[in-house]
Amino acid sequence: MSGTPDPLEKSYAQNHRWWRWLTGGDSLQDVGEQPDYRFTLANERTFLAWIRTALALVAGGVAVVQLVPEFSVAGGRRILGIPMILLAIVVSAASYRRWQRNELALRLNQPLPPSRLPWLVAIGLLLVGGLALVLVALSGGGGK
Amino acid sequence: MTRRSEGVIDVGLQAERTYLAWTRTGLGFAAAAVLLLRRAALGERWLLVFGVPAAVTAALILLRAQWRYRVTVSKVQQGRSTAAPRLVAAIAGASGVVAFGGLVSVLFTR
Repeated sequence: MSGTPDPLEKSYAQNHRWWRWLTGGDSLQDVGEQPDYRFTLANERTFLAWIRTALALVAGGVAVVQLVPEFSVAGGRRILGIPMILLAIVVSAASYRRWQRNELALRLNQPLPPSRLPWLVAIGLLLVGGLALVLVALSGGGGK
Repeated sequence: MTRRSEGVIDVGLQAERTYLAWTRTGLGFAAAAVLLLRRAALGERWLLVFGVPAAVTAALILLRAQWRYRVTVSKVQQGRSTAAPRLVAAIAGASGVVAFGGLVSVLFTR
């Protein structure tokens, strides 16, 4: 596969300073070699999986506050929902940068950069799960 | 007929899996939109500010996925990169806005 840069993509990057700022300088297409398209598509799917994770966290967080009956602890639903939504904001923000760094590594034929995102999400979900357990236990286990 | 012979390009069904991943993501936006719009319908009208864009994003992703599948297959055929940084940035941004809307809805509704 030849490394022909997409001319459209290139001119866009040259003409939009905000875009250069957002992507950290040069257009991706100017760097390295075009990787196997399967890797690019896999990177895109991984990005989408992270976005879905963020959306699931938002939906979960909002649903806890809107739909779950109040716990015996005042504001318990918000204590549970807000960390989930904050985690979603972090995942959304980090996912683009991660996609971009992976794509860059693919083009330069380098190992994929390490990421703390899975660790962060695991810790966050552990906390949320622990909180949920405490709230349910404090509510007496039975219905109120 | 032509489409069938061109189908050879999607070896390993890479483009199809990517298309399905986009579809699932569109449905994810739709689910978040439903929760925000539900709250808006229950009296918190200002949540339309987040609910409507979330629903529009879902619709655009689901429509675009069909078209993008064909674009991807044709780009692969021509040996061009399928990377779409602008699209990826836009989706990450939309997800951030929806998450922010969710946070605001949780903080400022009764």
